[in-house]
Amino acid sequence: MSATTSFRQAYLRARYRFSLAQVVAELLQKRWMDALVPFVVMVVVVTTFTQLISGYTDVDNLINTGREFGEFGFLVFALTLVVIGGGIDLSIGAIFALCDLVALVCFVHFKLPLVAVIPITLIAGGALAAVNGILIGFLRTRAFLTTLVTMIIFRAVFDILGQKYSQELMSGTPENSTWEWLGSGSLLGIPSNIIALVIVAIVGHIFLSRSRPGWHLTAIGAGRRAARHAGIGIEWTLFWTYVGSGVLCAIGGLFYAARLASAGSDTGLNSEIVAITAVVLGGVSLGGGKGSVGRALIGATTVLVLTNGVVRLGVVGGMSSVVLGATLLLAVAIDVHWAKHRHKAIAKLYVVPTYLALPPGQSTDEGPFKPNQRLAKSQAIGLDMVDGPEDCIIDRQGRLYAGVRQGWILRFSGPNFENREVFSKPGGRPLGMAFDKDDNLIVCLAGMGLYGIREDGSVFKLSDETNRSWNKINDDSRLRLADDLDIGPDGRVYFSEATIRYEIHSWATDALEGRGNGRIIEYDPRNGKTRTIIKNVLFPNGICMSHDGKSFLFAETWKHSISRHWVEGPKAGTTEVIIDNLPGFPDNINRSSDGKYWLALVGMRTPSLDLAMRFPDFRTRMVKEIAPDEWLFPNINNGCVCKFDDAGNVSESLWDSGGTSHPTITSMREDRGHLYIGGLYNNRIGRIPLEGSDPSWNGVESYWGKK
Amino acid sequence: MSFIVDVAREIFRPNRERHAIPSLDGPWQPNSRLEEGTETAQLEEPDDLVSHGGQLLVSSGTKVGEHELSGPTGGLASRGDQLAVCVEGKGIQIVGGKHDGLVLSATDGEPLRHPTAVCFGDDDTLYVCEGSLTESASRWNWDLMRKGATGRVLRFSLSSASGTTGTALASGLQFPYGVVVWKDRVVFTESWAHRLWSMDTSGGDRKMVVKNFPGYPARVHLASKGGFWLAFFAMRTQLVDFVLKETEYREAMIAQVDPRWWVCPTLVSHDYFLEPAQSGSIRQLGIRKAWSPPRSYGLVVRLNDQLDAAESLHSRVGGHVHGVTGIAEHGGKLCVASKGHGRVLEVQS
Repeated sequence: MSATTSFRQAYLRARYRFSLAQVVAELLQKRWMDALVPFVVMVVVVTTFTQLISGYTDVDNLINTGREFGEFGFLVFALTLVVIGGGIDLSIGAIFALCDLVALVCFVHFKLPLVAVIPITLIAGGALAAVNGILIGFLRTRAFLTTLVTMIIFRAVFDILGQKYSQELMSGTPENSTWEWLGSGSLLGIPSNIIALVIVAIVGHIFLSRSRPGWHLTAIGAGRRAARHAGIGIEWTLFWTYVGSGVLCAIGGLFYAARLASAGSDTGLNSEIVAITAVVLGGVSLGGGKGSVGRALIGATTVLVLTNGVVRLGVVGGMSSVVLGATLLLAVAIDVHWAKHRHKAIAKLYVVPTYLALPPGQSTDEGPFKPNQRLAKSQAIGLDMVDGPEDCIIDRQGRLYAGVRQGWILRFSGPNFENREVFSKPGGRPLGMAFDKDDNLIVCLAGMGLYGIREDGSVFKLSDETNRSWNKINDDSRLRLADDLDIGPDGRVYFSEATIRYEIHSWATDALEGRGNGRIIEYDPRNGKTRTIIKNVLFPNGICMSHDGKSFLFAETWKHSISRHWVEGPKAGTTEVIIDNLPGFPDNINRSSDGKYWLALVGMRTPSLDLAMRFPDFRTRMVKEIAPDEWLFPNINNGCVCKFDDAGNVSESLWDSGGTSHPTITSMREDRGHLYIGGLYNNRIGRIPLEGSDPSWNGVESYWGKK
Repeated sequence: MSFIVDVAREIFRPNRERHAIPSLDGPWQPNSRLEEGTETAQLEEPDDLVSHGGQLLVSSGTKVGEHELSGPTGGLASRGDQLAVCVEGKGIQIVGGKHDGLVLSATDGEPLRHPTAVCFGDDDTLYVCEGSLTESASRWNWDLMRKGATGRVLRFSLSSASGTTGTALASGLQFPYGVVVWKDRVVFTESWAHRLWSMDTSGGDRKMVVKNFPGYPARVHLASKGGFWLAFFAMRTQLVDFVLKETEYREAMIAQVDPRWWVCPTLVSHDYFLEPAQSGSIRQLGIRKAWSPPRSYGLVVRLNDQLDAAESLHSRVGGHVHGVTGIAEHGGKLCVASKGHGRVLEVQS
């Protein structure tokens, strides 16, 4: 019987260990997956036309197409830049044409040297677009109307000037090898304008994704008002965006001039429409705030291959526009659908429960875990003045520190702790705390990592990343949810990262998975290195150095267990379980004055959830079908504090049965004959006298001795 | 696609159960009117109330007022000097009047053993709900979790020639829990299916008149303002509705878990640490939100003559009038029996 049961358990464990849904969900979460649909469309279009048209991939043809692509690519970049900032530029075609004319007139008519022609052309492009920039950036006119008007004006100017110079321009250009290289030269077989495009693309990508102005631009496009509130100078940023777009058009115009030496009336005509098509096909959101150089290139490729290919297939001119329009419509429809439902798909797939059967918990009807009311009459410190003191700690002077939800560390002092001050504002979500030997407060900040706070309240970083695992899709090098820490006698910091799949606001959702998503990490101040020492731990939570300093104890919340990891001595590097049947969810562990350890149980096990942990599909369906507020959850409204020794025997427990003053007990500290109780969601820190405990014992001294 | 399926369902199965739990809106909007009531008595699990001979009688344990009965008592009805009492395991017992001492249990099918509600049609006619053939009224949660559908509505004619054998007017019901004669028709609740039925006095012309209540309806009582009062002993939650669909988990739960800690509505929740918790019910800053998913709740609703909800009285999460099973109008006031909290209250209606 038991043999078949354990076989069945082993089978279930193996079956639910790996999950395809998890892989898909984590892949979908990657930002570059935004471009998935545009990329697929591009691949389909390109393969279709290379199959349909023989000789499409010939070198000559590729170079010809490439030359066209170079000029068109600059226009698409110009538009992408503006669109990311939440605007639109319809005048790019006209600016392109005017710059083409300027370059030719300077070169042919005025016979200026190239070193003058190139800057003049670029400045001309920037100056023309600066009109847009001033109107849209400073006078706040609508981008669409403004650029429509400038498009008409620029186009008119181009037509008038073009007629004036057309005769002369047709007579031919002066001999100049550089000019010819720009028009038809190549380096290692790559056309000149493609080289320029690649350079601009790399610079543009770095600019957009890695530079401050690039981020500002994206922020303005994503939310103009929010960007203003964040202190971003919208006027100048937009102005320079349009100027930059104009310069990009000018580069395109320059190459066009060098290649064709023509300023016919169809120069750049309707190219804004094609560029918009490319931008949208590439997945750059017309709403602003979303897009990249890579996506612009994807869109440009698709459009160019499409238009080019349709013409080569012998489709008449009007029809090619229809094909282009239809493709655009289809791609946009798919993309809108995709963008709208992607996060829903992630939300439905992201939580991936596994099979978890655990031994039954110790009895709460009798024995050390029998509920009582010893915490119910606690003195409330900072009542309604603290928002979720997850951990609390007392320094040598008897002052009480607590990290709260706002990302602050509060300090309470005075005979009844009535003086509340904000000690430091490190940010993140402060969780576990410990003092090092120099009386710096080392704190785990969820969302940030491991930080220290000096006595004057200034903050310094210890670590925010560890070695990345090669087999995880989620980037687990960054610390997401550093939870609790303790410091060994040699100064090494051991801390837990509860889960690498959830943020602090949804930490308890990790319980529904029941997977080993957490890890224990070591930070060595002697060489500044951070490394993961234990992987795949089930929500590692509290960490506490043993009294002899040779090992540390850690709690695995969803496994209801306490383990010991040796860092010194003959068993160094090994881990052993010392309690595996707690009746609740263990949280922080701290030393007690009598050589034992305090343990907070944040909540108690419920029979219904214990059962559900053996039904992974039940939990999967639950997460998919019902609202998050309705999910079956660990009962963290009721918990207790208990005390255990090095062998794992629990001797007593302290309860606030009913959880009126102390629900969600996440931590406790003993100090000078009192016990202080913190709670992740509570509005107070509790304090109760501990009868029979050492009235002079202080945690900091227990680690580092008297000063 | 799903839209088309929805339309098709609407055409072909208009009476189907909808899964979405309606939100408490309009006349259902939560308030604290039950909380504001005046407590008139504290009793062990008061089940039903009736105004009888100028007195308000409450069934609690084996007693109804001063009357000691032969088993646990439940639903009550009064007409003139007659009092009809549901007695668990026995049937209906008549106290006072011309049929004093009569016990009704024989029917045309299985004998009546688990009555949940009773009402008078006239001096000699009784309509009775039997929640389930297999589970006693106090083990209603077993019937709910096993998706019981064995309830009946019966009629007893006390003066007919054929004696006092009851006739089943409707059967195969999902826990009928309240019955009233209204406008010459028999109206009764079907608790697990969250709906209200109406039929003529011989059981014909049965119509579902209200469907998809947001809670589990219990007793029904005529309202002097028009229409009738409806007590809800618990609210539906998405989680319970979901567990009811999950056969494998539900059966394992019934087999392995103490019924007190089931994922199932209760008459009262003490926030005990073994009770199942839901994500929305976690205390924040010392407060459990009143709108968090309710494990127990107190709700009384008045349906008007058009059977639309006209007003409602609530005791929300964290309140102290939960598990309302009985209602009665007495002395111009609405009286409610909160079985969960063991209280009888008078509330402003």
